[in-house]
Amino acid sequence: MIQFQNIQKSFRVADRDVPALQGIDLEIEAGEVFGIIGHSGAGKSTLVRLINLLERPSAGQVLIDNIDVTALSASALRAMRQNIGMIFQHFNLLASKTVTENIAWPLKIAGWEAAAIAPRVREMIARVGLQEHAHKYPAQLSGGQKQRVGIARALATRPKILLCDEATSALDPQTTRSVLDLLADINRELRLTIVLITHEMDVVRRICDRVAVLDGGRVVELGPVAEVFLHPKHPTTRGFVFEAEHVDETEQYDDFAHVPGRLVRLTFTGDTTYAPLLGEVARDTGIDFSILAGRIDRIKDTPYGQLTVAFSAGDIDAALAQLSARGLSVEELR
Amino acid sequence: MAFFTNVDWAEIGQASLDTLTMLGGSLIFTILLGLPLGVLLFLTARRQLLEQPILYAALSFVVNVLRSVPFVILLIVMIPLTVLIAGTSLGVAGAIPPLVVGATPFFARLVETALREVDRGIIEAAQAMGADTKQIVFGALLPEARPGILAGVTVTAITLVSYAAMSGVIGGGGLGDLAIRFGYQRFQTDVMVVTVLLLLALVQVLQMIGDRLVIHYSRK
Repeated sequence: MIQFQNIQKSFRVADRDVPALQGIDLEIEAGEVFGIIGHSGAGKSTLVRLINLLERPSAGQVLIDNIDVTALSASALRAMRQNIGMIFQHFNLLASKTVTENIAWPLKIAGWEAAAIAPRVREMIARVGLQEHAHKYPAQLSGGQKQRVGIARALATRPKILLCDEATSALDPQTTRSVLDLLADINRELRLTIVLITHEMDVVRRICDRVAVLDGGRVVELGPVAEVFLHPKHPTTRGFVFEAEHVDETEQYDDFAHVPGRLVRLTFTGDTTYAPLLGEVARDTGIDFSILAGRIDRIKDTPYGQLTVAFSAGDIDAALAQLSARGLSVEELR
Repeated sequence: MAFFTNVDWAEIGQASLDTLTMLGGSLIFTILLGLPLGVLLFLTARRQLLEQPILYAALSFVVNVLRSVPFVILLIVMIPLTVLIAGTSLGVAGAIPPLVVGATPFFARLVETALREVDRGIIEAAQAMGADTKQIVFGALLPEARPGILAGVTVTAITLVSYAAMSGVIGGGGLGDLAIRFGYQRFQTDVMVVTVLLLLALVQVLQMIGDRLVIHYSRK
């Protein structure tokens, strides 16, 4: 659906070219929620703006449905942008217009008939749950309500793609959750492709299907969220997971130094998360185990558990082989 | 000496009316010319929608030149042009062209400044929706900058009141003319006091109306 092909982008600052993106190759599938995570300055803001060409690449191509958007004429580009919604960290609503007028604006730009605009705006206001606030001005709304207006505005023209530029970074955790739930619902209902940039792993974990980790203008890790989240490889990715989980592995290993036995990290995903596997295997193989650290949570719709366990006594090798065979990911730590 | 013995109230009334006519007439033309000029200055500036460095530099230069000419000088220099436009350089009609030329660059700068206050994110959002420049100007920039532009209109109107009074120097009519001919040249202090008080009242009223409008249209 969206393809980046060998994208280079640099900005001219004080007569020098400062690279922002260095050789990005990515493909985003139709209907998925694709997360791009990175620290500020990693280039994620630039990357998302290449899709609707708010930024132009210095080299390389951006294809949407196999059309090279960098080659479009000005009017074709405007027509294409009318089919890509975008929401922003600071909402970017018109302060001088009401909620209704704000949502009607993209429809006017796209040249809809006045008679068609009013019912569509009402429909969108109802979809984001702001019926009570239709005639208020943005200044009278909370942050979460403003972002709901932003979402209704972005989706009013029935776009196929929604770009989210740090859409929840200005919101408190509870509001973030409700806005993400709304986005996830909309993704399912409309089979909408969502590209979301963020610096919070928690946002990625809650709604993304796949994630790309951006660092220094390059994609350093890419894959399904569960894979990247549970088995982070790049130091930057580990940093993000740590921030989300408040787990510092090196610190933990120091704490476990005096614990006897073999230290293993077990990762359960899906149905195995709730199965009594550890107990069954322990009875079978006569091992003892103590759980040193662990977490059980969900990644989007998939439950997962990750336990750091010390095994002692019994046939540990057989136990690990059994756990592996039953679908767990087994990593020996010590 | 009894107060106000020299004051011819009928003449004061006529002069007040003339001042209001000069103010209204010149304000309308100033807005009609200054608003598009201000929008053009904003759009052609560096890193804006229609970035045109040479055009911007040229417009900016003309605006600066006109703004740096003292208004009294402009009044005199413009007399031939004024005669061409208004048919006369005297009275109410003769005052309006120099007032407009004097105030338009000033107002255009105020408009440009007000537009720069609009959050860039709003322009970006409009671009992301596929808006063209015209849709961005009329749909976002002007409505969002309306309080700032109204404040600019207020400041410009008040400047025009003092410019209009100055045009009395070349026989422009109105309260300023009265103040110069009677108050200054014939030493009739009471006429001077009355005209100044009326001008003061006019400025107060304009400022009050302007402030009310700005508050009415501010949604922040």
